[in-house]
Amino acid sequence: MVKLTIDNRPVEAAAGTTILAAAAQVGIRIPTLCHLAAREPETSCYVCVVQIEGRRELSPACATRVTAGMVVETQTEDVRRARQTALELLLSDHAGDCVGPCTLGCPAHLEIADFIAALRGGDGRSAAGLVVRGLALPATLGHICPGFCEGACRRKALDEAVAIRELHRYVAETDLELTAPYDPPCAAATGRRAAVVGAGPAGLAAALHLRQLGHECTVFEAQKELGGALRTGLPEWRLPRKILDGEIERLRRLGVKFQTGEKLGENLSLDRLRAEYGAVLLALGTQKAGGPADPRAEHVAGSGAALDLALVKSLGLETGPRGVKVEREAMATNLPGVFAAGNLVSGAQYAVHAVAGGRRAAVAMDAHLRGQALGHRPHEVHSLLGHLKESEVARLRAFADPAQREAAEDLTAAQAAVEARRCLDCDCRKRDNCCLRKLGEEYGAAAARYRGERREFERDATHPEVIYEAGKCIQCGICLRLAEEVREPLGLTFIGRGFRVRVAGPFAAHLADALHEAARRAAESCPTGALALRRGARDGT
Amino acid sequence: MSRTVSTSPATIDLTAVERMVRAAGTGRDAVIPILQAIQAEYRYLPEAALRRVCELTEITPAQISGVATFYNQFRHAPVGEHIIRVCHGTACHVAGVPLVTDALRRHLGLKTEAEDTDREGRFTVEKVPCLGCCTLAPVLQIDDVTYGHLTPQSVPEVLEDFLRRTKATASLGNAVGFKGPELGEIRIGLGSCCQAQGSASVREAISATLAESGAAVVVKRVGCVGMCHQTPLVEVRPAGGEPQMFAKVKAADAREIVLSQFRPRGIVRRIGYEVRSFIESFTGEESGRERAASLAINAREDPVCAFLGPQQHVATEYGGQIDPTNLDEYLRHDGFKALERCLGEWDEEKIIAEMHTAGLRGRGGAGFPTGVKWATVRVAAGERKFAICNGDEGDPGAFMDRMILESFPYRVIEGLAIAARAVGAHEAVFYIREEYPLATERIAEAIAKCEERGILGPHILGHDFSLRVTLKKGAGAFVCGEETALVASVEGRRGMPRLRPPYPAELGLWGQPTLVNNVETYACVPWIIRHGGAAFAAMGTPTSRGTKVFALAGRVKRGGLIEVPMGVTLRRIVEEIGGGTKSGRPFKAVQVGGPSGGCIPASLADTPVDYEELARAGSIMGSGGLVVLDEGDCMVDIARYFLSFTQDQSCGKCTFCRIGTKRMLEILERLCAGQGRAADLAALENLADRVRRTSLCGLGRTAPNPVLSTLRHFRAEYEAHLAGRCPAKRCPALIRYRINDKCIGCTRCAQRCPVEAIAPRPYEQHEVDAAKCVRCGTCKAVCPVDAVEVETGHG
Repeated sequence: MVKLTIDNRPVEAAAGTTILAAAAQVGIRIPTLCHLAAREPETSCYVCVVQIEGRRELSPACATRVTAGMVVETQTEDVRRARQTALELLLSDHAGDCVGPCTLGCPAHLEIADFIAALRGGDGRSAAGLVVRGLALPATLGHICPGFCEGACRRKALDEAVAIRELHRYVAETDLELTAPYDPPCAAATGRRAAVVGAGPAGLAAALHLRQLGHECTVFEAQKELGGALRTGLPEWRLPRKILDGEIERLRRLGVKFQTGEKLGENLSLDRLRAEYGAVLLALGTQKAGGPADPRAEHVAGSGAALDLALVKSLGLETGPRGVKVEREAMATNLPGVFAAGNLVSGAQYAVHAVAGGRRAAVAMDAHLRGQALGHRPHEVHSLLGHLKESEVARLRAFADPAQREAAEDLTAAQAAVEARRCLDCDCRKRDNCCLRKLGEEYGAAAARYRGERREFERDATHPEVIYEAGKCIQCGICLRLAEEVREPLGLTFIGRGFRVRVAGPFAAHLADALHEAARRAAESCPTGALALRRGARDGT
Repeated sequence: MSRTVSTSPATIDLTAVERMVRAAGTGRDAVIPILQAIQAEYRYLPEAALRRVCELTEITPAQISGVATFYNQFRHAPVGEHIIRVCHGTACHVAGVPLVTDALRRHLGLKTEAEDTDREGRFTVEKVPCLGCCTLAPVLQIDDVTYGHLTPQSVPEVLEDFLRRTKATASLGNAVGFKGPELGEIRIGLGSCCQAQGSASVREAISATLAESGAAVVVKRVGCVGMCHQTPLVEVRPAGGEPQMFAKVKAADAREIVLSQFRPRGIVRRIGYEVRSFIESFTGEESGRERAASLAINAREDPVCAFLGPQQHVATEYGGQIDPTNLDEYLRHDGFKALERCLGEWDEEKIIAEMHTAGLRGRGGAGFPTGVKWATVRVAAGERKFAICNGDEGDPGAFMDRMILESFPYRVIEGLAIAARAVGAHEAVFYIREEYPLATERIAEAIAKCEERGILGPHILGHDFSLRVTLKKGAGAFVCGEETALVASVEGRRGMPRLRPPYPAELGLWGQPTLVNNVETYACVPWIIRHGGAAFAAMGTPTSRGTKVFALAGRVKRGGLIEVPMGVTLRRIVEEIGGGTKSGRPFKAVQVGGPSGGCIPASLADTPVDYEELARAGSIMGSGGLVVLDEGDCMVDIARYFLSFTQDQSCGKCTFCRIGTKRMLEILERLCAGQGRAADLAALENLADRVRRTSLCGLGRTAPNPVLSTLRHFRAEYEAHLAGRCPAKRCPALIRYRINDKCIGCTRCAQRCPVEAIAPRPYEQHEVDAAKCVRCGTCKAVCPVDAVEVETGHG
């Protein structure tokens, strides 16, 4: 047995044990990407580096065997920076989107690829769930949102953007027509109470989210009818009343209480609200001089829509250049327990911005209601495919559905099905469980730090269960080894050398020919989204 | 001319593949020799042939695809009738080969980077890392013919010359001896460099003249003398007379040299010769006799003395005196006496003790103590030990090992055999890069002759020790000079290194203890055994004992191969031995150690050649390449050049080398293109440090060295590039060609400009159109009045 020290802890390990295994023995976890348990090390990713006392170089823990008296440190500043750089270098040569450009472009970050995939699979219920939880007012927005998502849609490189807005409108309206429309599940009652002032898009979204988090919620609205600028600023042909009412009805079903005719500064006192409720959200919106603003037509601050500054000042709220001043993540005003969201904060913007703000405020209020600090937003890693080369566009075209965009706004079921197939499904299949992404987030890696030449986007969709995207491969060799172990007749191999090295089937074999028995295992073991199970194969359908 | 290669699988005759498999074997380790044979046959690797190999052997499709795409040598698409390999080694780069390549591609009409074959299918152009003929830089090879001293302007002539040539293959054996008393011996160097300069045709001319004159003179092919700057070299040794050396001999001169030294036999021939000379003396032109005399160099003259004087010959003992593959001659010159001693008198411990005393350190570059390595292999546990000779000399700008293998094959075999005896290995492998065909040929011949004579085989030299030596060729991968990658290559795998420890000394070829040493290291061994380790240790410095062979190239007047005691200063090498720079300008730096090394500035020229001293100055000893640089060389460009080499040669396994060096290279390319950003230098240094400390093998670990050393000693040049200036006026994006008022309007520049960037204006001052100009330098080269200036920076 060999005695050594890891992170100041004594460890005893059999001769020939690697530092990685010895550390695991005492519960010290060293990150890896290319390591395949119980096999010879590949020493490719170099994420598992550690500092061995007395050595100038950092050593890969997966392949360095313990020696007597070795002193190992696994989390020095230098080691952490080295791991961060390794991850950043890998991300710099990564051709793929973690999350599709549509979702990133949407101010509310709706999970677009997921809901469209559900629609494609005939699962209207799941699709409805996604758009309701994501947008609070998906049918409404389906009528009036300018569609930032479509502006970013990658399909545009081929022909026209996918009609995303029309699709979530279709999904939400179809759902509203059911006898039992989708209601998001609510957590167990917390016994805490929140007040929302203003029943516009920000307030409604916040209320929906607060209920899902288990808090009681009362919405106070100055007007007789609910909806704020959605009600007063839009004619029937722009937004049918029935739709707005239907989506507000959902809130009622969830237990949101509404009190109309209550105007802050007149018959509604902020002090009273603060006394009676654990948290208060001000979502007053902007007022056009002489009337409410059209949330669609004017989106540039100062173009006619304005804050009621007098009211704001009288409440003792601080203001910034655009509106009431809030701390960005916590959405908190200078008054403790008082939060603000929507146009009140940002000046006149689109309803979808208000919805996004409302949800952010609800999350912050939830922490406040529980007496907890709002956690730091964890570091996010977003790999971006970015601008496509000619050759990459050609590859997309090769597997894209050839249908043209549906011109209609009000889609039929058949039209929605066609449109849903036009989606290129840009989200990575391993969006939520990619090891590279997770480690990148753990080590604060900046995906765009080392910009330069990157490998090209490719997709091999020949295999019935597994999709291979070579652009996401980090050359770890795990799939090669798995294929070798079961003696695949063709298997996979490294082609080329150096920066241009690629994993592929021999003699340019497609994945369907290269992997049979090893395919599923390889997809599950791949540390990135390069080899991943198809959507259907994932949930076993 | 029609293309001679067929692309359709149906017409490929696959029975040839069966023949190749029978010759090479069916094991997985036969894959590289089989691929080489297939390529020799079909001139590329047709997929059908590879599939057939998988059917006939244990080689799998995954293995063959992986190996075939790893090594540079293998082509996957049909090629033109002739292959042009343009050398992109250090000396060639410094001598301007990128412009030569541009000119070549323009001449052949190759527009995009992907195109490498001209439309008629006559020529395919390949860039190769280093052909090892550095003193003739820039160099290219068309099939088997080497051309040196190229310029962008000479490219069309070279191609025409090649097409005109009748390929008279120079036979490489000696001329037939004459009956009767010999009048003397004519020695001519026939290493690769010498042949590139035309020594083969000189030899033919000499032989023809001798046949004609009937003089009883032996023409002897000898190994390298090292005076590459003087090739072709001819040494005339009349029996009982003074030896006389002639330099830069052309075939036309050969005749006169012979006749002036050795009188024709027979009265008729003699009279004929005298009459001819008599008549010539009247024509007023330099007579043949005078011309021959003018080529003579006196060994006592300063330049030769300065070049040869400070040298000590251990690895290159008897250089220029013996025929490389003549076994009897080697035996007459103390050949295999050391091996005999190691088998007869001494045991393994005594041999290794002598190596410890000698203090020999690995000459491949890392400088690991040889005695310690041998001792490690000797005590390692394993039933079947191996000794490998690493002849994968890949440093661009280094050709010492090539020279030693070509000129002294028996010596290397002897050193290898002694090592094998010391460590207990009965199997040895020569691993030689495929870019060295002559070296491979000579080693193969030497091995065969040794086997015939019982010097190798079941009972070497009659003793109870068996040693079988085989030869394996590399296939074009610099990384295979790293010992674990080399072992992988011998085993038929991609040349990917693995982490050390464990070292090959304990776990090497086929999992057995394996000794891997460099060519030059083995070449020193016989001398050490014969003269004793103490004699070797008496030369050099306390930590760097003995001698080292260097390849001196670049801007130096007298380039070539030298062997000097360790401890000699760089200044002495460059100025005394090398004669200073060709231009006469002071030298700026010496690049030592190839792509793993660093640039030592002239201010540190008194650094002695010593492992530790060179490391302190920011470089490494390396394998021995020394490239002299002057004011005309851009240090940022040099760093970029080396990094582009290591980036291209990276095996691709580990993150920091594969991607890190790429990002570093992109920064350097931006700097050289005048697109550097303020944060670039810090980013470059940061990445360099990371790559150095976090790479799997020596290639990655040392790749940042040229960058780090130039940042350390020439930071001002980097800063200048950030400001859009190239102080050395090299980087095309940062310079402009301008014609000044010395111009006489002769239109020569306009005529020769390959991109028509100068409009001809007879008798008027010409102007260069900066937008079209490709900075090839042709106008400057052809201007008779030196009216072309190169500018850099703004205004």
